Amino acid sequence: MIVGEQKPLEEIMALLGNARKVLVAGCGTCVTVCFAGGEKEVGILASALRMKSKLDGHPMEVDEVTVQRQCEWEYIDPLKPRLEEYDVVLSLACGIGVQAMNERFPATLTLPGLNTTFLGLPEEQGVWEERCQACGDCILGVTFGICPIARCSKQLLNGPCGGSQRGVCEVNPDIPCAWQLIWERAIALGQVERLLEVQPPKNWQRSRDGGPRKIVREDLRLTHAE
Amino acid sequence: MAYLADLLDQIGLGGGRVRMVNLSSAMAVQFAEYVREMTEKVRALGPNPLREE
Amino acid sequence: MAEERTSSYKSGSNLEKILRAGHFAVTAELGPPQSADPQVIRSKAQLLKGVADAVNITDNQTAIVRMSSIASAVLVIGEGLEPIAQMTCRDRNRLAIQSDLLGASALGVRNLLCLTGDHQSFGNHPTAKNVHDLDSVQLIQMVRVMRDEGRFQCGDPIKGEVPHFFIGAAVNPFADPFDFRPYRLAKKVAAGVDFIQTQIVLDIPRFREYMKRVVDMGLHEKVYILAGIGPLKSAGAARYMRDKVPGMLVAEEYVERMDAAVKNIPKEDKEARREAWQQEGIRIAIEQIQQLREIEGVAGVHIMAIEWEEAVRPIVEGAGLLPRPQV
Repeated sequence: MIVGEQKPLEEIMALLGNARKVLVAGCGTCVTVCFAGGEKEVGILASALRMKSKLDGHPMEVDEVTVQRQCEWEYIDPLKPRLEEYDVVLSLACGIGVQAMNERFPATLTLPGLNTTFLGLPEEQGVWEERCQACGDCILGVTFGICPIARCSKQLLNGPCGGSQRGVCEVNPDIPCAWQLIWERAIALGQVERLLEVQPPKNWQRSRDGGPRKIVREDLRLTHAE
Repeated sequence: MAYLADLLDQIGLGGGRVRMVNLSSAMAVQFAEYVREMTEKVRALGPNPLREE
Repeated sequence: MAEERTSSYKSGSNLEKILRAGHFAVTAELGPPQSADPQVIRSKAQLLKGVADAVNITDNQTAIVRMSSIASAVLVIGEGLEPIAQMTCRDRNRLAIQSDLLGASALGVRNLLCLTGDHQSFGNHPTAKNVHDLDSVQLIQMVRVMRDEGRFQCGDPIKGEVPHFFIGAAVNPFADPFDFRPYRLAKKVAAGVDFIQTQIVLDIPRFREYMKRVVDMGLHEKVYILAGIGPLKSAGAARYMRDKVPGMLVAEEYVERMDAAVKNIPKEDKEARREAWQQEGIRIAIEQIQQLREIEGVAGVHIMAIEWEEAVRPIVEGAGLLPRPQV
């Protein structure tokens, strides 16, 4: 899932500037699951904004709404009639949701209340870790299901650098060395020889470096070009 | 609780206004003690700045 | 070393000729300044001239911005010393690397060390974006194809003169997973590396074990391996390397010897302590060279006396490796 983290209140206040009427808009999908931008967080942030703005001497009127998914038109379209009353929308969705709101409702500015952090999973309650960088050319098949693009600090494709020691990365002892994990898995599966092949340079064109990416599935489209 | 205290600090109300303690129903004396401590602390922090005059 | 390798040189560098002739090679390290002052390079080059067969010019070592390796290498050539330029994958993508290497070759640089690069979080620009378009194995392969097949990484032909490099790489026999380390070297050999410089050896039994595996795999016949020597400057430096440098192993013996070196010198006499430590550090380095020479597959030493270039001459001299052979 997409993992996000709320921006500090101070930064949010600065972003909101002189806005007097604000709609805090949450999202019921990824950011709800990672406790960053769901209905509950919307409620807490809205209260915090009301109190903070009042203490600062310029009280804001803050309303709350949470939609199932802020990244799909069908879920955000019902918001349209309400938006006129607000100076600004503060979205607690990921960067995709924020952009969807701005794209769909160009007359109203939607600001980000979260930092969209990574694609990852909750390792345990309260701990999230990155697993995927959406590089567009999955290599998990040759790295035994452990991604060195997302999990190696240098994105190495041909084995560990000289900074791997006692299973952790030189960058931070809290980061397990991805190549240590890959090596151990290769041994456990009895397929070490598969790691001895030289992996060629990666095609980064399929990653962000090729520009914004797009998938078109003609079989799924409702309107076909004649 | 730490999150809430931090949030109150960020808002400017003061994180000291909230505290959680674990007590059993048989610990009346300690309960009274905590309540007294907290009352003093909050009094020292002053009235809720958000309350209307 | 295999016979066909004597037929024609890959780069014609002094280092290549020394190794090919079967001499025990000596390389050293020269760190460029954090400034645009060419004099720093010239002075350091004079300390190493006639002592090392070639000197590594680091490329933004420990991710701290310094004068470019290639520019410094050209200054070193001007001093009559042979450089080994370094190139990391951290700061440049495949376009920048290839164009810089064409330039380096045109300017007369003949040795190139291909590295992954220290992570930027250790340096003075921790908020920088790193590149890692290639890794060190892919970098070796790219340079080898440019030299031997006259093609760029994309496959296009190089129109005219190809870059002539004696291609080097680093290995760390002390990092984990230990069992993977000889295979990592094998991958670099498969990619086309000519010589290897190892991480500083401060644990000889572990290095011996590593070399045994390398020899068992026959890799020592395909690549020249220079063992890393890092003279210790003080007991504190030994402890720092043992405890703080990722991927370093330091045998307790060396820490104890450095402590013992200043046992009878009062703490206040800083000058005398420094002197005693440096002498012991140089003595240990000399002994290590003698021990490493006995290990099968070791073709030379690479002396990393970082910001202590003065130490290289007494070490090489003490190890009986002067004068350097002329080839």
